[in-house]
Amino acid sequence: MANMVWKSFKGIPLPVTLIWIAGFSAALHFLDKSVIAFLGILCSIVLIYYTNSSKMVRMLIGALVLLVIIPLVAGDNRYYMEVASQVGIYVAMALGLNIVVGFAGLLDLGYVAFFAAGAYAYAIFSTSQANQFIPGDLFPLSGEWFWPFLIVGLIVAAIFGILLGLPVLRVKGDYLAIVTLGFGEIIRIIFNNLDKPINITNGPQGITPIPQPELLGMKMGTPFHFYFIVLVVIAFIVLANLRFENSRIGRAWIAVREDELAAQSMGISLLNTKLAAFATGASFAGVVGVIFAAKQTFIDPTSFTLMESIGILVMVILGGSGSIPGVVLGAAFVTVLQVQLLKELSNFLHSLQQAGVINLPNQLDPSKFQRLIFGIMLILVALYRPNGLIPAKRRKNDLDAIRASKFAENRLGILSRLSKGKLSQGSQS
Amino acid sequence: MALLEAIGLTKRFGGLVANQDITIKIEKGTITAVIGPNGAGKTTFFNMITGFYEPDEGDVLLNGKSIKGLRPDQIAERGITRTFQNIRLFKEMTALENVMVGTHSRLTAGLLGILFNIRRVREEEERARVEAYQLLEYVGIAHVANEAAGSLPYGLQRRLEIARALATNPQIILLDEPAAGMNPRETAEMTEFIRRLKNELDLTIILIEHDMKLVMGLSEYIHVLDYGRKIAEGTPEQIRHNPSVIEAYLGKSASEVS
Amino acid sequence: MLLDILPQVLVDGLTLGFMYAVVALGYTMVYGILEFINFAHGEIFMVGAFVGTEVLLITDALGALEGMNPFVALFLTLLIAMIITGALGVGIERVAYRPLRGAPRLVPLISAIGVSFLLQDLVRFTEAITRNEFYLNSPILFTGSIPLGSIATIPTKALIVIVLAVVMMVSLTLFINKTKWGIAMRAVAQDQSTASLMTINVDKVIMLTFLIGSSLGGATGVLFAQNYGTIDPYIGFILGLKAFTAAVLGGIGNIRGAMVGGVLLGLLESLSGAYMGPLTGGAFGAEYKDVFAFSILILVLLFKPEGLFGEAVKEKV
Repeated sequence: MANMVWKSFKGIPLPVTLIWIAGFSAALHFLDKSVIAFLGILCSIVLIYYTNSSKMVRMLIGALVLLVIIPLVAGDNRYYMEVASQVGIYVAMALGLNIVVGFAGLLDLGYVAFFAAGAYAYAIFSTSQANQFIPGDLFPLSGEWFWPFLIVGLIVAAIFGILLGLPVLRVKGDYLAIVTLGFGEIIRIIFNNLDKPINITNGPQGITPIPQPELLGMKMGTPFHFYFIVLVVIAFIVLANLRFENSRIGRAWIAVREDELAAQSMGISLLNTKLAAFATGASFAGVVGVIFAAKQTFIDPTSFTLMESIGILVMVILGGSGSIPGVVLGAAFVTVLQVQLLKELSNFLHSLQQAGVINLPNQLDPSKFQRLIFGIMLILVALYRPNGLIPAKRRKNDLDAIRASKFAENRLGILSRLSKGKLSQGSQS
Repeated sequence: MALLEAIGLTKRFGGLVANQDITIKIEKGTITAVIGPNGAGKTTFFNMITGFYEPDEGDVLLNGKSIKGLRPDQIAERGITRTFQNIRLFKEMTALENVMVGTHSRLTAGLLGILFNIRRVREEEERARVEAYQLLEYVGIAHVANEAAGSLPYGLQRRLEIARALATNPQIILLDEPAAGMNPRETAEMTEFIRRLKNELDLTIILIEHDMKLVMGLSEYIHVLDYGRKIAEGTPEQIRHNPSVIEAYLGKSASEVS
Repeated sequence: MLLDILPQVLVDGLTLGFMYAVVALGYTMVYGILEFINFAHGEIFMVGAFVGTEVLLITDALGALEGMNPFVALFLTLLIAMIITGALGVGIERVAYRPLRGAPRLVPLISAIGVSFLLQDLVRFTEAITRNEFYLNSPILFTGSIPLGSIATIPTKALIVIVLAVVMMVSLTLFINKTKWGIAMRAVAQDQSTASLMTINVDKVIMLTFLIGSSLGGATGVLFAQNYGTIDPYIGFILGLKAFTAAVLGGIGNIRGAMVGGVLLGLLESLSGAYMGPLTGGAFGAEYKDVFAFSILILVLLFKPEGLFGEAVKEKV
């Protein structure tokens, strides 16, 4: 019944979307720390996606909301900018994991290791930590190095991805989950103990203070700045994903996910394809790892636990494995849930307790219920909506454009063996 | 020199000898059938040729060069392609995309090229789309190009699988029970279609098939396996009257074959 | 000096190893039948530990524990824990796994991860509400030790763990080989469709597999609590991972392999924990022993994925 309604759904009328945006923008402006207002604005992005307008118009409105309205209305509000950057970082990572899990079908439970790689790469060299193992007093690097380090973080994480992938990807499908989980933990334990014999990561004490990004002498470390940095990075990542999705490599990933044997028979090298997925997915995490380190100004191994990997996995699965819009939605939803809703709920319940309305035992604090909620979400999604909130849809090619293509004049591939005039059309059935 | 030569191929699985000393020569441009009762080792033979199993003994030569030990994707690159007994399509992809996957080893686009959307990649991609569409037209299913492969009816799926295999621009195509699950009319259509493949596209075809009408009507040469060994080879006429073949089938198919 | 601690290290390793072995049985049996890694099995073990501890704590609070024969107390605790965890295992299969039997591989794995998380928080929540504390200390029933000649002493509780583990493994082996249902389990593990054609009720067999695996895991949980004293809701995760490693090491789907793998892993872990530090001059100490266990898993999966006793299985093309 719900499916029928969904199928006949023609899209949200434009005025509705615009009113929604206007309404929540106002709320965002006048309310100081309202989770509802923030959620409303995020939901407007979803509404825009489903609005009944051309792609151009929708992209324009979306850009308007993200680049103009939100900064204008909430730019001086530290709270909203922080949350938005946080959401953005997880969106980027979810898109990365989407390549590994969603496209290539590789269940990676240790994804946070790549995030850690990027974060530590920047942290080590932008603080005096590097002086511990590199002679001479070359470090710390100034905040100007943040920008090139985005690329460095990308490369370091990609290398981690390949190094991890080489042994791990030869393992049979089911075991991959356990092995990647093991690797993720190994890396965390190593980072936690790499303060001896040589001090590379400063162990459990972490690394601080990590400098703010600087551009031409100007410090760009406010939440407002990070919001834009994250937006730009996400834009690149989304673009990259869209390009990969409908390309030779994207098809190879999906082919490997659907049927490894058939994929091989069509000339696809399993190892290369899987490694490419790992490396590409890892590189996204590496880039935002650098951003995360700069934003937090302090990192330690506790930011990179298994819970993080599972969290990102929940985002991908809940949103829609293999679906770019789905994963973005899933990431936003889970991040806001985790970071904001639970905290707000717990604050709300505490305030009720202060007022003597209810008596809340200490242990019943909602913000500590991450696992319970993740667990239930995973089970429900697996049982009832395994394809996620916005399931992946394969692209419908424009057949007219194909027929009109300049390449269509000749017979391509094996059909060029046909002698002219002998082509007999197959029987239509 | 034969296009494809299997020399003394042997494959054991623990105590079971699936293939014992199989020697089969395939000439270019022919339609050859490999037949035998169930469990005779036909699919094992296919799997050794396509690189899914490594022979315990013996060798496989393509154009005189050994391909033993190569991975399946490497063998596909060298021009041997196949379809599967149980149809292995990429169900979530459209028909057009399935065929485009077949072009994989002939395309050169890499991660960076795709990322920056360089002209060479764009043109290559467009050419691949056109070729895939043309192949869909050739096998007669262009009207379902944008449908998910998993949603297509059985007959169209079989044709799609062949179109996908053709997209690898092969020299040799191995058809594993192409008429499985088909009624007599469909089988006749498939027979005609395979003949077209050989004539129009200059393909060398090797088939595994149980339907004797198709085998006898189509093949130029037949090899018969039983219990992992080759027990006979020859033209359809010769095979039809071969006593060991008739015995292997317990005379079951002999009545079908007339 | 290093050699002095060896007997103790070996005893610890055996105790740990036998616990891994019994938990590994749960993983290996389920994988053998469904080709599915039951991620939540470690949590079932954890629930067993908590049930056992609660039983003892409650009995103690009622004043009944002091005078009770420790063997009787242990027996009762094991019985209750096994019943509860067995039922839990069957319930989980019914609700979270059975509906997903035909789905692509990823989906039941996701469900299993979800169940695992759910159980961890449910236990923590329950304990937090009732006791305001979820790191529990279990009353230890056996505090003595038995000397082994003049080189070592083995704590009684460790001996009990080992003896009971062996009893459980032997019983399981007898069951699998000699009883009607046991043979049915082996049949379903080999070929599900043919087994069902032979009038074997596959659903019931699967339920039985989960029942046995889970109750054995739960029993091990009780033994764990008895041996180490302190438990928390997160012990299932790491131990589950290591028990799974043991199952893979021995050959997944192979019962004898799970037992051997478990003991082997326990010994390796104990030895590495004790000797890695001294042998590497302090560079890699006992903190790395988990890394050691995971590395074994990865190495086995890379070089001999069928494990010590398994047979290489090729996918049918």
